[in-house]
Amino acid sequence: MKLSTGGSVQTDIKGRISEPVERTFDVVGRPVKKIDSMGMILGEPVYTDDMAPSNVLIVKILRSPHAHAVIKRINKDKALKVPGVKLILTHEDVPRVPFTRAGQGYPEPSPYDTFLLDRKVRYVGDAVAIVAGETEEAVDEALRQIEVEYEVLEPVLDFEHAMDEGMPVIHDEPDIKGVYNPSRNIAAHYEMSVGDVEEVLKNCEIVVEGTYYYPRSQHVMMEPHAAFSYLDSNGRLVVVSSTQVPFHTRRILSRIFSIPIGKIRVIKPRIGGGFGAKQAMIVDAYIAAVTLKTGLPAKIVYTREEAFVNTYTRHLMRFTVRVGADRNGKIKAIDMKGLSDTGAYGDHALTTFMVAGSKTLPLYNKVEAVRFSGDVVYTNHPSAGAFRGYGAPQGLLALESVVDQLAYELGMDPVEIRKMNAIREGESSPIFKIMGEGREGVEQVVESCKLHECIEKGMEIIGWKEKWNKKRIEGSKVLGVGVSIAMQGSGIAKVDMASATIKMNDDGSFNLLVGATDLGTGSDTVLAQIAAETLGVDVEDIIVYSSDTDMTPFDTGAYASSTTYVSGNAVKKAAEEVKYQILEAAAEFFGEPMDNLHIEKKKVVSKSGKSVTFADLCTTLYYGSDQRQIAATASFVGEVSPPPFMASFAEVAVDTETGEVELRKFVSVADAGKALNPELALGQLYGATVQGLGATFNEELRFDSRGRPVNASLFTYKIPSRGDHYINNIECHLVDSYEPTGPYGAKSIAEIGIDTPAVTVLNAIYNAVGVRLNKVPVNPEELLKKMEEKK
Amino acid sequence: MIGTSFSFYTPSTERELLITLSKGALPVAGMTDVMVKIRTGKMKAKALSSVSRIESLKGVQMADDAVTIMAATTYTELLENKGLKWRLPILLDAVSEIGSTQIRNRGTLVGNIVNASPAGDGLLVAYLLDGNLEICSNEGCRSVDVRDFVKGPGQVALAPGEYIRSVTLKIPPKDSLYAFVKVGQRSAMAISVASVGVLLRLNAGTIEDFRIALGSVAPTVVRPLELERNLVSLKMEDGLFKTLAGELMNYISPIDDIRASAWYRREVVKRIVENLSVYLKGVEKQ
Ligand SMILES: Cc1cc2nc3c(=O)[nH]c(=O)nc-3n(C[C@H](O)[C@H](O)[C@H](O)COP(=O)(O)OP(=O)(O)OC[C@H]3O[C@@H](n4cnc5c(N)ncnc54)[C@H](O)[C@@H]3O)c2cc1C
Repeated sequence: MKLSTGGSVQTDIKGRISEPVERTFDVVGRPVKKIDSMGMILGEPVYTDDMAPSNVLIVKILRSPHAHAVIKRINKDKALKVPGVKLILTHEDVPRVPFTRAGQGYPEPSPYDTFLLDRKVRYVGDAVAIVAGETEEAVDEALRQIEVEYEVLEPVLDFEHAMDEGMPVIHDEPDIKGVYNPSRNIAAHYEMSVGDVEEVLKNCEIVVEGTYYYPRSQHVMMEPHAAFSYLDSNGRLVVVSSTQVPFHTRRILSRIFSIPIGKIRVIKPRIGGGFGAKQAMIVDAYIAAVTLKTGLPAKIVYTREEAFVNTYTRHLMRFTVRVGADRNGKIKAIDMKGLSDTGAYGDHALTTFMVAGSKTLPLYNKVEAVRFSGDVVYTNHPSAGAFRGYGAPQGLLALESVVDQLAYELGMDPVEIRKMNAIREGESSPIFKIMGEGREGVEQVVESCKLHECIEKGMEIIGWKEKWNKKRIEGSKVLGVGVSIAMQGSGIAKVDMASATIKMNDDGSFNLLVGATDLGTGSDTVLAQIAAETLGVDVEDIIVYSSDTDMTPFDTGAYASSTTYVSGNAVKKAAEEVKYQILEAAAEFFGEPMDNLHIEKKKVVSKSGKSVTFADLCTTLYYGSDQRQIAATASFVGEVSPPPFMASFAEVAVDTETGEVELRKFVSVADAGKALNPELALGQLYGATVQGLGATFNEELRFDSRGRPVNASLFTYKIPSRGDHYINNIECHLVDSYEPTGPYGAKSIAEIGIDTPAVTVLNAIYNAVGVRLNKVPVNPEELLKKMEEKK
Repeated sequence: MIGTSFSFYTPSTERELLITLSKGALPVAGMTDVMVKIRTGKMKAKALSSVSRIESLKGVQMADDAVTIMAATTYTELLENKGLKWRLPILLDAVSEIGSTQIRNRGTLVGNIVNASPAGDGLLVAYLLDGNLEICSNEGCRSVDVRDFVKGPGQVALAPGEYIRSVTLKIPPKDSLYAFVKVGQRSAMAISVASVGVLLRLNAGTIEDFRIALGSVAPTVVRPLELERNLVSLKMEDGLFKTLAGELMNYISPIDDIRASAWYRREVVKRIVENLSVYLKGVEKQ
């Protein structure tokens, strides 16, 4: 038995809960089945749209056919005459309050450049009117009957020229806030440096440089954005929404409609995936506007095309990286200069850009000087936003390509150069302190880092020693191997706060109420495991409820790889407090000192031989003597954000006749701290890897010369499927690790897997055919052309 | 969602099918092309009549020199047909790469031919195997070569009131080598950028029979008969495929589209043909 008695909660100065010395666990570390999976598998009504009342008004949005235009006139008379149509709202009818849809800490580091409806439209698909009616047919007909007169403006479509003098200005409205330089279409700007980069570079024996692009891809979560709203019997606004951020949604709605937070309730049911696309208030304000105006329930469910165009995409980014080193491969300076395309609105603009540096540069922490700078620009494309990896895949594609260039220029093994320069356990990086998310970061020493073990294990699986630098040819195909390393974070230090409430029931079960937002990841299960482990009960004894702004305590939400680490620590703290209360009550019950007692299999047992079950103890407390509810609420803010680390390897076969790339093997080995649920953790790693491979081989949202999306459907935008050749060639592993600040040793795992696939495959292609592609998705035609040019 | 409504008939005999066709219905099979077209507004139909439940239009009939595939036979049924494995392996190679399991469970070879896409994989094989269609109407049945039937992209010689009963494919000469190569940006559920099908029969190093068909490089599948004939009786020598690849370029007229450029299409076809020996396979014995 672990977790002996431990009467009081041990915390150190920083408020961290100290670990029991022995690290054997009963519940964590086991592949417990997802506690909510059965209902989903059986098709129970668990998702937002399943739960909407039947008399709900259907809400749809009239969308702009132009990338950049001013609305001169809207005539809704005809549309209002369509039978069944209840309400049509245009920019003339809704409050004009600037806000950001981004669900982030408050005040948000994203500019307030968005209005519920505006006079101006800034991308093909921007909202023009909200239409509500009794049936979908009526609403569709009304959408056709609304007459809009536009003054069409020149669009800004090339992000590399968005800042040019004389370009049309996308945000010229005077009442926006927090935009870096609207007149030059710059949403955000950032620069930082440590040491004198130019000087150090000048003195380096070798300097390599490269420019790389990562595309605008889309999350393609299976459940599109959906929400419904109604007024409860006390006139409060209730919104049921498929969101990663219920508390932020409540706050943003309060801002837009000027109603007190206390008059709004946001409920999150099961979510069919989000990947960042739901780290925002996307649809909720549309239905809230209808419900507030009519008093009637209203519902919106996005079509797949809307999910592609009207939510978020990944930020298209370009990075030029210079790396300076000595002849032995010791990296001395890194300079990263970037440009990011945030589309029409600046959601997550600054923060994703900063993460491209803050979650990559510390990997090479032994540099003498480092600089990171650049701009995030507006264009007349759909708004970019949060997407798994959050800038890190974009930054890493460039950085790890250029480090690879350096290795080959020096004639070094690309693995060796990484081993030599990469961060190790017990080390730090100045970047941690300088670059946070949208502001300064937090100093931290990396207390768990098994990156070198990850590299070793990955090398072995791919057969690096036998394969690297050996010309291997099979018919028209040339084989090659590539490597890259990565890191992420675990929540945002000193920003992300989570809390949990646990209350005991008279059968010995516990309600665990968390604001943490399981979006399909299985975090409810992991949090139940943490509570069960701490309380000495089974997972089945923990009843999880997440999340509901009326019922559950605050949590910033599911993003930034925060739930296991931040919310998990909050759950652990709450459980420790409940455990203390249980022991205290039992001590009174037995008339013995607390030191005599410990918890064992849902019982409190005394050295004296007495014991009482949780059920009996709680029943006594409910109905007998000393009546009270055992319950506790605890919160947690990360003092640090311990990074998970990972090494990835790819083996490719490049067809020299067609330029087609076959991925023979892809291996990712990660240090996620202790995996509290290895099955779910690996599920995250595999999922992220596959999603990253999608961007590597196929995924890119494309637009025509007038800014109209050309592949915003699952018929034309291809995400990985079972039929893809590489799907069975992926292997993911976790190494043994233990993060002292994590709940039972855990760090994060949800995002890191998506960072490496693109760059690892590009590095392998270079190893095979000596051609360095500077963007994904890999285009066979471009590769063939470049192989030709090389000849 | 579909934005248009239509009547849908499911006749169980060819007689009933003809009645529905006389009312203006369009004959359809797996509807894997039709539904996509209707949904994207590229096709309008008042009424569809499905051949899928007509027993007499199901199955495969084997003769000594040819195989007749009935119109309602799905790709999956072809793949499961053991007799086709050694008679028409190139057909199975092509079919096994079409779409996905779901698409193959519904899609038909006849549907692929009538769809007349220059990228149609089944159509390419029908060109290569001298496919012949049995077209029926109230007036009776006629037979037409696939090559004469296809007039252009999406254009075929099918009159209102007519339906296709079957397609007959010739079994290539014994011991023919074959190759089916499809180049695409993705291995699953994507239209190919270019495709090449070849049949070659050698006799002691001399070419006895040679056929080649190319997909996605012209408005219709290309089968350069004249070029094929010129190869017959030649010795199979090094450099022959290279010369062939060069000459083939005069027969194709690829275009730039979002999937690939004309340059790339030419280039991959040239390279595949130059290296045909790598792709050619023998027929597995019975
Ligand atoms: C996701 C997806 C992937 C695909 N991948 C491929 C691929 O890799 N390669 C490829 O070649 N194709 C592919 N296709 C296209 C399609 O599956 C094929 O063209 C299929 O063979 C069409 O057959 P069907 O039975 O579904 O035809 P239908 O859609 O039913 O009909 C197609 C056309 O044929 C006509 N027709 C059908 N039967 C008859 C008949 N008996 N008499 C007269 N006219 C008739 C119809 O009127 C229509 O014009 C794909 C399609 C999808 C949706």
